[in-house]
Amino acid sequence: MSQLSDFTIAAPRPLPVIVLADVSGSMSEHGKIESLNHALAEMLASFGSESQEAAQIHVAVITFGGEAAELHTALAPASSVKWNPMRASGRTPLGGAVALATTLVEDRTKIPGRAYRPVIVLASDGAPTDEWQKPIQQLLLSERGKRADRFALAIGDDADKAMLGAFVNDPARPVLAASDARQIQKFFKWVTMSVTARSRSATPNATLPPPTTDFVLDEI
Amino acid sequence: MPRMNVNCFGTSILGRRHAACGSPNQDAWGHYRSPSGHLAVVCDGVGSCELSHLGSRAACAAVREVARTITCDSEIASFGQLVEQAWLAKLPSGDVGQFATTCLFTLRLRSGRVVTGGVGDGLAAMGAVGRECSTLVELNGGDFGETCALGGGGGARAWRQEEADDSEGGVWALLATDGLSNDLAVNRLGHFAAWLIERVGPLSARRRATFLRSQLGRTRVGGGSDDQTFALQWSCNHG
Repeated sequence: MSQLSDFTIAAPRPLPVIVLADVSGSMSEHGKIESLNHALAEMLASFGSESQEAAQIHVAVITFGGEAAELHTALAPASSVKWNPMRASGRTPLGGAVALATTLVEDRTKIPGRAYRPVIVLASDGAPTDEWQKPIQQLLLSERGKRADRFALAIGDDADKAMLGAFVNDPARPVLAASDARQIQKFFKWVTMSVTARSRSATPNATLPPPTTDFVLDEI
Repeated sequence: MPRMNVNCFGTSILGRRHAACGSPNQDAWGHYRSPSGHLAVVCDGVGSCELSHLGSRAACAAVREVARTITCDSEIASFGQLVEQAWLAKLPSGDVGQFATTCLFTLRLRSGRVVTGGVGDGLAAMGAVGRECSTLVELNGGDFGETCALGGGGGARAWRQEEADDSEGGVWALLATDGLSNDLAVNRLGHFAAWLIERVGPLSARRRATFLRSQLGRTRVGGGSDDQTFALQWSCNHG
């Protein structure tokens, strides 16, 4: 046993994944919320079973539905998260969810300096019902938020693609579209595989590449 | 004026990632004595830059050159700019960005003034021997692998430094590249410095190097993938 270990942090460096999940009333239609719940439960199980030698995947889920956004699942190692299925109802307060994500990413007590580049995933099937431009701008201007890997999934035809594009804010990285519930799971399988590959790599800070052809959805 | 001994040692080991592909150690470090005082430098060539191993060595030489001739407060205040100029002058022709490197230093002037800081990620800290608490220099390091550096984001504008009074002796300064500092427990830095001074300091240079390499290798902080380098400088008052 190295004596140096008395002065080092034993836990592997965290790789945070923050999911912003639309749980507005419209998500209860056509099996969308069931599909999203299933996809997130599978993602958590997969992350939780990963080897944690170099990086430990941490997950937080922020939901936006009802009247306000809320932290549905606090940021914690995926292996310790007990998944609690989400319910869909009410409005689409996306701006509040983005503001919560910005606060979380900038909080160095929750995401320390030693953490690897966070991934923020936004999935929504509608248009925001609150002010969203300013929160997205604040995320993109924040020291750490602007460096996070951001992905967006437009679910169905009514998703606000312009807003999702503003969230991603990267011409090289298209907003992806899921035309049905099955494709929601396909998208999160791709997220799972990509994040897992990053956590195993020698350079876990590298940004995620766009989806390969196997996982390309209908790009907008 | 009390009689003072200033000591320094450090080490650098190649990370697994670089070893696997035959790349050189991108970190560099050194400690030097000069008419102005005692200096330690630790630099970490930015991983994505092809010639950063040369940039980190040039940065060590640049800090040494500037520290050797420093004479007044205004030069200390503009230390970062002077180092950047000296560093640029040492680079071969080509894209400066390919030589990007962090640069951390601690300079103990003959007056007992200790100046510690630099640019980039990693760790620069000071404390007093025998005390648990330490002062971290708030480096403008960047996050998630995007590093402020000479030849990269920020340059000398991102330089930060702090001072301590060591006229009575007993001040230590620790510099470490992020391959090590990301996994050092910040609340244990005083203990770490004490362990280095008491346990490792008395060893001969050769045994010390072997011991430190074995310790770093066995701990495998950060999975051991990145190069790991540190330097510790401290003074002892011998009355």
